[in-house]
Order: sequence, then C-alpha cells, then structure tokens
Amino acid sequence: MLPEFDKNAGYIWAIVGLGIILPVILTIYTQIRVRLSLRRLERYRMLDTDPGDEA
Amino acid sequence: MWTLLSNPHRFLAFSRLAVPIAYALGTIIFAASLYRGLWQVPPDELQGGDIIRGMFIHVPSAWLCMGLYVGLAGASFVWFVWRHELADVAARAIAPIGAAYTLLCLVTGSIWGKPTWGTWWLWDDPRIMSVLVLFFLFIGYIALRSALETRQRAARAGAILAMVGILNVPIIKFSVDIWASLHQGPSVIRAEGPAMAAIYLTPLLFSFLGQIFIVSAMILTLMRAEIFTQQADRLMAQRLGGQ
Amino acid sequence: MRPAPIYHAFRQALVEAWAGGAGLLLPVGFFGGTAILVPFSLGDSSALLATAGPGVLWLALALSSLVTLERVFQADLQDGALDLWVQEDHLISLIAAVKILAHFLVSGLPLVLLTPLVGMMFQIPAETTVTAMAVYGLGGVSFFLWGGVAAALSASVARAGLLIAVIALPFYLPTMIFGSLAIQENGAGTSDLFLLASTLFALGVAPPFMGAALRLAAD
Repeated sequence: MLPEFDKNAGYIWAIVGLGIILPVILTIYTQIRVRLSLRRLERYRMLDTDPGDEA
Repeated sequence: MWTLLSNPHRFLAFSRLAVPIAYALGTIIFAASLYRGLWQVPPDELQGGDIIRGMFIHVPSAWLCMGLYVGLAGASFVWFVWRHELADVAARAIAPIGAAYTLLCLVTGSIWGKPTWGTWWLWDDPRIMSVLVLFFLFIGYIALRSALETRQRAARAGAILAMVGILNVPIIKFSVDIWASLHQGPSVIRAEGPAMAAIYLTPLLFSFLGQIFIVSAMILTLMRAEIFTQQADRLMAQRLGGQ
Repeated sequence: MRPAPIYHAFRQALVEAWAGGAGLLLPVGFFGGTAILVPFSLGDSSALLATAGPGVLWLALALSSLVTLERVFQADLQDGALDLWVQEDHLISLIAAVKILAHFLVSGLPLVLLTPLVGMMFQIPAETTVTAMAVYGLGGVSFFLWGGVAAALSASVARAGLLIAVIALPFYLPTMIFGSLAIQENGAGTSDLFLLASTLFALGVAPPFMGAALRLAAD
C-alpha cells in the first residue's frame, strides 16, 4: 500500500524512484563486468593446460 | 587489516564474502530508512509538505558523491606515494560510481527544486554549483584515464589529476559560496537546518548508512573485475612471451 | 648549465606561441571577434552590454587559453626535448612554468592590454579600466597555469582539445568567480585579494604538478 502524498506526489516518487533505480542499474553493471572478466580469466587459465612451457 | 587489503589474493577472498554481506546489510538498512521516511514520518508543513521526503534520497547522494571524491583522491595519493596496486584499482573503481551518484544528486536536486523553489535549475545555490563541479571532476578523471594507452600512464595521470582536484576543492567551494551569497535569489529553503528534528534525521542517517554499504559493495565488485582483468592480461602476456 | 635550458625553453616557447597563433592574430581575433559579435547577439542596449561585457571578456580569455595550450607540450614530447628536460629533477617544473608564462605573454597578455579598447565598445565606464586590466591579468595567468596542468596531463594524447577543456573547467571556476566579482567591485571589496591569493596558489601548485605530468609523459 503506497502512502498518499500531497500535491507533490509525482516529484516525490520520481526522486525515490531514481534513488532506487540507480543502485539497481549500477549493480547490474558491476555484476556484468565482474562476471565477464572472471569468465575471461578462467578461459585463459584453461588454455594453459600444457605443462612445462614455463616454470 | 592493511595487509588484508594490500594483497590481491587476500583482497579477492575478503571481497568475495564482503560484497554479498554489504549488499544485504545495505539493502535492509536503506529499505528500512525509506519505509520510515515514506510511510511513517509525518509531512513537514513548514517546509512544503511531503516534498521533504525527497531529502532521504537527495541528501545522502550529495554526501556520498563528495565522500567518494575524497576517497578517489585518497586512493590516488596512497598509490602515488606507496604504489600499492590495489589503491589504483580502488581509485579506478570509485570513479564511475562517484560520477553516477553525482548525477543522481543533480537530477534529484533539480526535481526537488521545482516544487520547492519553482524552478528546475538554480544557479544561486552553492550546493548545486559544487556538485556540478564535482561532476566535471569525475568526468575529467574518467576521460583522462581512458585517453591514455598504458595502464601505468593512466594510473599516474589519474593520480596527479585527482590530487590537483582535491587541492582545489576547498577553493572551489569557497568561491562558489561567496558567489552564491552575493547573488541571493529566492530565499533558499534549507531542509536540513541547524536543528533538524530527530524524526527526520534518523531515517536520513540510516538512508546514508545503507547506501554506503551498497556503494561499497559496488566498488568492491568493480575492483574484483579489475583484478581479474589484470590477471587475465598477465596470463596472456606470459603465454605470448613464453612461446 | 642552470639558466641556459630555461632561457632557451622560454625563447622557444615565445616563438612557438607567436607562430602557432599567427602572431597576435589568435588572441586579438578572440577578443576582437567577441567585441564585435556579442553586441549583435545581446542587443545594443548599453546597460546590458556594460553588465554582460566583463563576463564575456572572461570567457574570451578562458577560451583563448584553452585553444593555445593544446599544443604547448606536444611538440616537445614529440621531438624529444622533454626527455632532455626531465633529466634534472626540479628543472622540468620550472621549464613548464616558463613555457606557460611565455604563452601567456603572447596569447593572454594582448587580450588584457586590449581591455580599454574593448571596454569602450561595450560601454564600460572608463575609470574602471585600470583595475580591470590588473584583474584580467591576474586571472589570465591563473587560466594559463591550470590549463597548463591539463595540457601536461594530456601531452601524449592526440587531439586533446576537448579533454583539456573538460579537465581544466573546474579549476577555472574560482578565478572566474573572484575575477568577475573583482571587476564589479572595482577595487572596493575583497574579491581582488581572493583573486590574487588563488593566482599565487596556482603559481605555487601548478608547476610541480605540470612537472610530474610531463615526467610521466616522457617515460
């Protein structure tokens, strides 16, 4: 049940909405970046299956 | 604790736990503060009614973006002097988050300004001016780092810029305050007056605290991404070198 | 050996600045162009021009600095002069400061000296002119110093004009504010002192950072 606000309800919800959406977007962005980079790292690690190339 | 954070492997282990914990804690605290601020707290009749509830988002975002710039400058300084690799990783991670919250502060401030002062933008408010400058400081930092080719160069240039920036911030703030005080336009309604009632202050502080945890989680995540990228690059370089 | 590289760098910078801006054409073009175009865009009401004029001149000064500084360090980076200079630790900061000064003398100072002429076209009262010139002079030095830091940081970047502008913008702001207030006060208030203080601050802080940035570019 959303609270009833006075005449400025639209503005208030816009502010609160932005305040919630921004961390959500940033979370999605950071999660995508970390997963992509981890996947890339593991891909390179798996390529290094030949033993004895370097010490 | 310092060694924990200066060793990449330890940092990865630490952050693996820290990120979800910070997210959980931050979300709970933030949500609770919003619940109090939106549902429970009464509207402030003196300051325009319900619109004051916007401050639970807008004010913490201002504090956050300023704190993040200080964090950026601090990490840059630590890296510049002691060359802790993780300090540069931290600086790099802070920049986009800081820029995003600066933008949030400007936009929510603008939306708040319309019903409160009747205008979408206000040049007379020193706080809006300071945050606008902060936005350019973040953008300049990000632009400079991405313009330079090698990671070493980008890190050094970024560190220099961040340090110049933080040295200038007090002067900029001072000049903006002077300018605004002389150009007093409409009387600025200050929601966070010298004596804010505890009933508003408590949710405000909790909103700030919750968002600090959330922002920390994001920064730690970006740092992890950067470390993985660097490790992958190193592996690639080794393979190419070893062939 | 001490004075020679500095003097040489100064002379070289003077020549570059002069040639690069086609002599006085670039700075005069900025100011002159502003003086001629702005009344057309703002309308010729003398009250408006007198009020807006000083601000517009600040803009011209700031933009002129950004335009000329783009190339300040790039040529040195490319022809190896930079590598020579970074070999002595404190020399590079001094050389950078001297180069900036040379460019200010060629591209900034003429604008300052033109203030009476432009002031006349903007119908700014004549008795404020001397103070105004001093204020513009101080402000111009500050612009060139902070712009120099931005240029030094971007020395290895091609076509860095926009980057320099974005970086330098926040640092130009206090000078703009103190400067335009000082012009308005015409020596009465404290803003000219703040301007002097912030310019001295720039003189102290900018050259070492320019040196650090140039050392990084030379590596």
